Amino acid sequence: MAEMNIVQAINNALELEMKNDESVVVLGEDVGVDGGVFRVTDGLIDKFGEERVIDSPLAEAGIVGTSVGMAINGLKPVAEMQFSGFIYPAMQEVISHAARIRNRTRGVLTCPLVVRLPYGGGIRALEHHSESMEAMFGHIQGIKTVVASNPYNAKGLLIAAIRDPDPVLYMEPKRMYRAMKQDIPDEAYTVPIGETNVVKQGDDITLVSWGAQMEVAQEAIESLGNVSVELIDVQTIYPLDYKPIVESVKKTGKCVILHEAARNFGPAGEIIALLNEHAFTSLEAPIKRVTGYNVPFPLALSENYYLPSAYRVAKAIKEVINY
Amino acid sequence: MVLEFKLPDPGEGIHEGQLVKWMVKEGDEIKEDAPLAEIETDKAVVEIPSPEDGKILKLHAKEGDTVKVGSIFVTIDDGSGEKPKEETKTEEKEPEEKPEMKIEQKPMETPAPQTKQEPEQIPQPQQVQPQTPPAPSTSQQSETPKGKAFATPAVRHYAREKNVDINQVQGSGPGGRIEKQDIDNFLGTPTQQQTQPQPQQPMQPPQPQMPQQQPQPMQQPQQPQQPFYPQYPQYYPQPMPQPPMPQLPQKPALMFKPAQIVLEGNADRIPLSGVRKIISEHMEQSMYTAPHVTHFEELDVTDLVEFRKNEKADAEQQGIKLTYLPFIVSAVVNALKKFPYINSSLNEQTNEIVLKKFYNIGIAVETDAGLMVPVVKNAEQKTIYQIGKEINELAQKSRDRKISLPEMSGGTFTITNVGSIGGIYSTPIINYPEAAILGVHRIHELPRYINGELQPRKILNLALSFDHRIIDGATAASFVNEIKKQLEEAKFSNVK
Amino acid sequence: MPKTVKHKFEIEHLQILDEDGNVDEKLEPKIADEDLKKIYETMVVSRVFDQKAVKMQRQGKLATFAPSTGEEAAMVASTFALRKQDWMVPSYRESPCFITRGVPLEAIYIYMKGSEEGSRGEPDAHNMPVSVPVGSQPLHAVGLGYAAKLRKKDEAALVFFGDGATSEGETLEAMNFSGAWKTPTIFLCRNNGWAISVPTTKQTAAESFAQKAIAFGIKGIQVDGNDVLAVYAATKEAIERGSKGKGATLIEAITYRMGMHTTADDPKKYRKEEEVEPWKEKDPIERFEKYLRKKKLLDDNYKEKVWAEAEEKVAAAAKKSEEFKAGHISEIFKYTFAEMPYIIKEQMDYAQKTWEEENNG
Repeated sequence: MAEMNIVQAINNALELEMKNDESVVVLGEDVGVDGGVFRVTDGLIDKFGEERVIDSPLAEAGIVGTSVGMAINGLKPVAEMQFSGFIYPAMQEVISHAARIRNRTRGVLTCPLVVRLPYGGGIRALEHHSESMEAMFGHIQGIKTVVASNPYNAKGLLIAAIRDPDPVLYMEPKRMYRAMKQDIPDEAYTVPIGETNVVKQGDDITLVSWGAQMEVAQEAIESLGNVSVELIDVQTIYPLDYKPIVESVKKTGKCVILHEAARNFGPAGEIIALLNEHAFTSLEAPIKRVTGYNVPFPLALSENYYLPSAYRVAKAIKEVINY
Repeated sequence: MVLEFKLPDPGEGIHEGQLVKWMVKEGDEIKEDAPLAEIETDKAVVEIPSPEDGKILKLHAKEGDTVKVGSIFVTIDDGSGEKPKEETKTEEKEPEEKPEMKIEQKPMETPAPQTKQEPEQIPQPQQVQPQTPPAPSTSQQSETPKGKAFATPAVRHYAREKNVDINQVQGSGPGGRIEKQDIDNFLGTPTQQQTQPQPQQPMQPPQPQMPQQQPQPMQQPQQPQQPFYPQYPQYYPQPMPQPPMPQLPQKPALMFKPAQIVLEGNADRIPLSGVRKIISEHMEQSMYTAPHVTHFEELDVTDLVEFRKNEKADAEQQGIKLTYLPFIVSAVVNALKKFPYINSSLNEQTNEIVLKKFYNIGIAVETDAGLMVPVVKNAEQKTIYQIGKEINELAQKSRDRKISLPEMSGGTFTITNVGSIGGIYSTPIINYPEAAILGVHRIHELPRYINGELQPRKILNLALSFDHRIIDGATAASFVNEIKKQLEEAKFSNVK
Repeated sequence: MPKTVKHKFEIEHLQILDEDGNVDEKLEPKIADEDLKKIYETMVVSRVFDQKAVKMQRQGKLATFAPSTGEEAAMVASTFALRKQDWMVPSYRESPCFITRGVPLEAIYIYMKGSEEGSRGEPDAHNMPVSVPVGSQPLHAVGLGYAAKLRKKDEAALVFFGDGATSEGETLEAMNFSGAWKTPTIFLCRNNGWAISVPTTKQTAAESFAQKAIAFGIKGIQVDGNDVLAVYAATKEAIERGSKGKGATLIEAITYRMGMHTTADDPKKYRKEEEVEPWKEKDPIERFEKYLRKKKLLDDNYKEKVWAEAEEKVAAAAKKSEEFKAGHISEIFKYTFAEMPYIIKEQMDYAQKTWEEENNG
């Protein structure tokens, strides 16, 4: 066991998998010599060489498109988009090819690639560096989308993603990169993709969230004191393991969903639709969402207006409890 | 064969075209792929080639006409005299979005939103006093339309479970909202109807696996294609395996603490699995859902025994081993027609009694793997001989484990013939979600008084277990009387 | 100080067999007689296949089809140069390339009819399926080549695209990546004059497409795309270059799209017949026939035999594809992921049940 933060956990996961499997390669802008602008891939090029840790030309579509070809021909590429918002030029390759090659060829050709995406705001970054697009990713047929929220699942989900025979978008909560340390096992382990995690059991209300917002959720729960909150970390956005959420809401009858992504057509909508289908007669109050607003992510000075705070979450919980 | 060639879609969503020029006349001989006509669309002028060799019988448009895609365009006789091939549905369908739209409009398979059914469920006349809620105290509470009770889904469900018309209940919650407590208060005592420990939240079947009364389309009518590359079987995943038995709605957690099993000696441990497990769950569910009452009756079937004896030889000539069951099935079906509530199911979700107008009689068969119930479908349309033949075939298939799922589903009433092994009385368990089950026991000779004289008579005991939620004792007794009358009279019109 | 010229560039144009069938013996590639005949037979089958496909589309038997008539040399001769382990990466017009690689004709028809069974492909055939978004597939070829290099396998990747694709960023990114990574990639740009209705003059200001290679530091060469020998020779050389670790090549094959963009297009709207006429004399199959005749490999009997056999093959394939029906409804669900998550399985069960109710009940 060793104490690691999220950056170290991801780095460790990459190192273990690259050591364990020769076909794993890492590519992206500045991931080699520089070790990644967040130092997530630090040290890998010294251990594995520049053919496996590739400083690629500056072209996101190119990075993902070539990764598709590599994945088809026997490698397991782990491509990095320097910031999740830079994936937009690569969306054609993700949606039209990575996600569909298996279906197009009925499983004869497959595309086991991983795209790492530092996502989310709260680091006072430039415009376009704080995106949370998991709703868009969740809508793509044929790829899996996962979100890490702590060092333990950061390492486990990444290893699972690398070993997964299907393409996976792996979202890293960049504002949490160094914010927390956890004691995690030294050896390689997986956190299964497609499994929701009930972090904390409770009876009064269900709180569903993922990624960087898990910390906000915990804060909110602590501030409430005497409310028994069942806290759920979704972990895999798609394919969503909705059954534990349904079971939880059947127990508590109340639910609040928390995400940083904007509200309109956001992921909370999908979860609420599933709760409507499967837990309707258990609902004792309307389900509330605490989310970013329907505006572009503001620049640094106004960031805090936008990001959901523990106060907003606690307020929503109270309103639902007292409905 | 005469082919009515319909105008194909010339490309990318065109719906019609203008006929610019015919390249043929009626009566012309034409070869496959030779041009028939020029059609102009928004996108292009295209030549339509002939789909086959033949003679042009009729041209269905004039030059300059607008022809719709899919309409008959040219009639060609290929001179072979064959009948035209069945065109499959898929080829004819225009690429429409309809199936997908249907899915989006309804949630997957959950019963229709309960709110709409509120007024119908209670057999009380309509004049409900809606609770007009006072102005909501907080802005977060959405307005409830006037005339509808103000309550959350969980409370509505609770009301339905308790058979309470929620519109009659006074709400004491915020904004005049009806709470669970209000329902309890309405009922008088909060402990009423608590005989069955209900799980906290009502049981939701996670899948659209409603009790098996809908026809189970387990057959896959579409044929699989020939694989392109048969030398690579690993790239052709097998179709998802069909479950061997019908799937049950999800079991609630154990309602009672299981008893401790104390062993004071050796014991063998057999895992509960397969057919045995399914039967175990099925029986448990039936017993804990339907309140069972069993009604016994004694029948004097001396005349029936005689009747059967006379028919046996004829039947054997037709290859049918004629037992008493087919006669009983026939009598049962006639009785069910007179007592429709016995051929029914209670839909607990919608609170409806579904009276079935078809008669699929399940016959319980003992096999090595356990009890199986193949079904004689539409028994009302069959003669006694046909029923007899079918029962034998189904029983054999069951014993050989060759019985298929459709052959075991869709039943409306079950007969269990325990008497073939022994016993004079039993209390059979209803094949849930049917409404009743008839146990048939062995025929034995007993002394009975006929017109004051002691005579040896052939006696058959019947036991009808029924669901007292749907059927009362009087109905059950009358039903059994009807069967008794038919079997004792032994006058059958539908034998062969 | 005076300006200095840092870099100049020149682009070679290669033609080995002219329109009259005269061959430049110095450049004539060494191709065995059976192979020459095979190339010819494949081109003929491709032509017959293509024309039958258009007719079938007009009869409603295929969905949309992109004809390749006129481009057989550019497609067949280049694909023929590939070794078995090399990758063929098509766009959506390259039915002749699939045919050259031995893909059954009915598979191509079935794909065009609208079934993924047709784009399944044989495992280890090293053919990518049709790529519809223009210019998205050259990147795949680069990745395939990179993976081969890293795994120490000698595999080149030949990717086809048209003149229009060279305007797409992804195509240019691919050429750039292939240069930076020195991958064994052959970019074969079929300059057939048109991107639907947009002529090459509107597509780019560059004087040739081959010169776009220079910008990315890879080799660029222009060939007469209707000349089997030039296409073959240039491709063969490019494969060797890639195989020996000397990097990627861009081959601009000048040819002409004799037919329509796809069966949903009417070229008369944007180009005149007079423009198409001269290209009929440059027909690649006729030119190659002249060459084979001179080499005494072709006479009228043989020619007739080849065309007749082609007709038979194509008719048989067409018939097979006509009999092909849509698969079971569960097929649309089975190949989304390696293992079906329950959220999709529920849908599949529902879809199957509801479809049967709708259609049987």
